[in-house]
Amino acid sequence: MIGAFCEKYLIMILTAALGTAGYCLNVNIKRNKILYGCIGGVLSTFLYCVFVEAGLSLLLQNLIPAAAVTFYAEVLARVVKAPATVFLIPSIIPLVPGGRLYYTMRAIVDGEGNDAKIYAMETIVIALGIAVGIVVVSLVFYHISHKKVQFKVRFDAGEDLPPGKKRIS
Amino acid sequence: MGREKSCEDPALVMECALDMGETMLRCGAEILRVEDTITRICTTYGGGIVDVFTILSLIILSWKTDAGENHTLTRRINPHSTDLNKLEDLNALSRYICEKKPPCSEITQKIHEIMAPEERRIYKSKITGYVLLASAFAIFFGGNLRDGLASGIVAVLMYFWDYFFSSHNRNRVVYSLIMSIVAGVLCSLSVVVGIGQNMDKVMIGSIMLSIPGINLMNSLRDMMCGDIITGILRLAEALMISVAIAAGFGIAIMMFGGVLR
Repeated sequence: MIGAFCEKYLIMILTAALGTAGYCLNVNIKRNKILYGCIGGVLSTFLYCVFVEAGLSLLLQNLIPAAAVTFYAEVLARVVKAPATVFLIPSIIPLVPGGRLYYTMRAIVDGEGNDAKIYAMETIVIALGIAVGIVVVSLVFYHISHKKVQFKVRFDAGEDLPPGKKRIS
Repeated sequence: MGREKSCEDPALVMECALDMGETMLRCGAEILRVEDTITRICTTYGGGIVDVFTILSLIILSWKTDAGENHTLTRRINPHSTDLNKLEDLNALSRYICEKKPPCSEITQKIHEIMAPEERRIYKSKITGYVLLASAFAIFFGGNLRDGLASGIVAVLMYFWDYFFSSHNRNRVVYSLIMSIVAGVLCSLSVVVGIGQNMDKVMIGSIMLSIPGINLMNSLRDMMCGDIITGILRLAEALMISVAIAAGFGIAIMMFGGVLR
């Protein structure tokens, strides 16, 4: 079973790694961090292939890899001390529905309304899945890392908030 | 923090903070990161109360120092191109500022070092990036090696198109439209000449070159942190660019409609 899986998806995973490296060069990421981006790209593609094989719905196929990659990027950002965006953007690129976008446009040009509708729906569902995956995980990290943030506030300068309470600044 | 009397002139500090904020925003930082950086720099140098309001094209900074003076500065941010390398440097610089509290002149000098205008020449690494991206994704979406080759050739030509024309145009939507028409025509030609076999795969490869991934990502992260205005601005920009790309390739296909199937 693993052999069949490799045969089917090895090319996808390899090209995802190469394409991610290309994107990293494009947006001018530091040379020593390109490898992290590639690993993220491979991770997202691998998970995507696993879930396609497992037969999950289109939404989940993209949501879970996106969430996993966001987790990877946020953890890495804290370890390597760089903005999470640097690792997140290249890792997400293989999930982007560029193919679906093309086929939507193609169907519209050819005047096949039903096909266009289906492809457009799929594009939107994939985009939604990626968005939800990223947002959920980043929200968790956001709340962890911004617990201690406190700046001076105008009207309650005298009193002290109990520790752990976040002030609205 | 910040109770001791600051020796720096507030106007200079604000200038520095705004420089940092502007450069970060131009390099593709989230709004929260920009506002956080500005607030931290101001509090580090003079305490007091800091109000920052940032959207995609404007920063308003108002600062009441511990001495009781009020200062306000605004700055208009011009359109920009993303550069994650510089963003990382700026992030490191802002950590350094808040730890070491260097004099303002040093900060200004460092920002100028980071943001020094790049030499206008042909970067081999960028060409490699374009080729890798386009040809790898042409194969990723199911093309064969010849499609990858065709997509790579189109990517090299698109790099030179970018090199000659990208600095002339402030409007990214119109620019994406024109760029996609050119890319679409080149892709069709590559199939006509006989380099590529499947036109759809070649085109998908070159679509991936201009997809507004960073805009979409930043818009999501902004909305999540509560900066709805900027999130919507960025989302609208990203959607308009996507539609422009699709329309550009559509126009190219229509032009070659009779020739290819």
